[in-house]
Amino acid sequence: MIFSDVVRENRAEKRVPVEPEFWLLIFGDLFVFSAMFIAFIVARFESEATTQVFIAGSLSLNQAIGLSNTLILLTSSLFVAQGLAYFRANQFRLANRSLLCGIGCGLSFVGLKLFEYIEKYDQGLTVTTSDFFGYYFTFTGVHLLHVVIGISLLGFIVFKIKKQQEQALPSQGLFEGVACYWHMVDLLWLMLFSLFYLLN
Amino acid sequence: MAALQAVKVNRWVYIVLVMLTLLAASLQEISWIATLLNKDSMAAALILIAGIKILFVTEYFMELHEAPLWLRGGMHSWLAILLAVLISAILNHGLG
Repeated sequence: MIFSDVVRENRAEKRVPVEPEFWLLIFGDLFVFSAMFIAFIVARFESEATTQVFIAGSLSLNQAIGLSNTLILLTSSLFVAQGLAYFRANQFRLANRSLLCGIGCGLSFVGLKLFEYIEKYDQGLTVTTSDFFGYYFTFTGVHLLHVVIGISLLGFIVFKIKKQQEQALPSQGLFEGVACYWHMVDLLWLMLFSLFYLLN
Repeated sequence: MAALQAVKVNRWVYIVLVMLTLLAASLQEISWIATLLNKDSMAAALILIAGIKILFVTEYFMELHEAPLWLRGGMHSWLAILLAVLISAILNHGLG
């Protein structure tokens, strides 16, 4: 095999996960969240006083819940990635089991986040308390909405696989799209966790 | 077979991600690092670790290591620009 054949073969192996159009949605979401991350950092360093407000806000967050939620989302991402691999190998029962575990992790994330919101509310910390909490509730709220949408989409895939009829099985492209969406939700949280919980 | 090979790779990626998360969460508690880095450098390091984790998620969980250059390059460019803006804002205390 000559070098050009190897190059051609390598090029042929490259593939776009999901439909290319789907990536417009992913990049659109990523750019919106990027603007939010930058707005947060700019607001934090507006003056010495705002920096202190942001540090105090970060210290008042429940670090254990933040860390647990990060590990939970990473675990859910692993389950979803495993589910897709099993689906491709036609091991539908394992795929479904992995997805159900991923959904369980997603629901745990939602539960912990709501618990944290209630905890903050009980402490008198609301969206109007300070700039920090304005950003905190807005950004994590938007992210939580993404998590709920992701859980619904994963549930839809589980439902489709569970029917176990050839024509009812979800297409691989649909599964890949939902998985990519879920991983995007995960990676956005990785940055949110660092900005809100760790920068103190 | 290739699909099941991905299961093994994903497990290793997950372990790396968990280790990086625990490292980031405990970075400020590690005394020799805390003395080595000032507040801003520590914050920049935390953002950089988050960026590395995001890179792992995109490359392996989102499977971009198999994707064509335009897609992989697009994602890498987005991440590089985001990290550059955030880290320079932290080190310069703002973007102004």
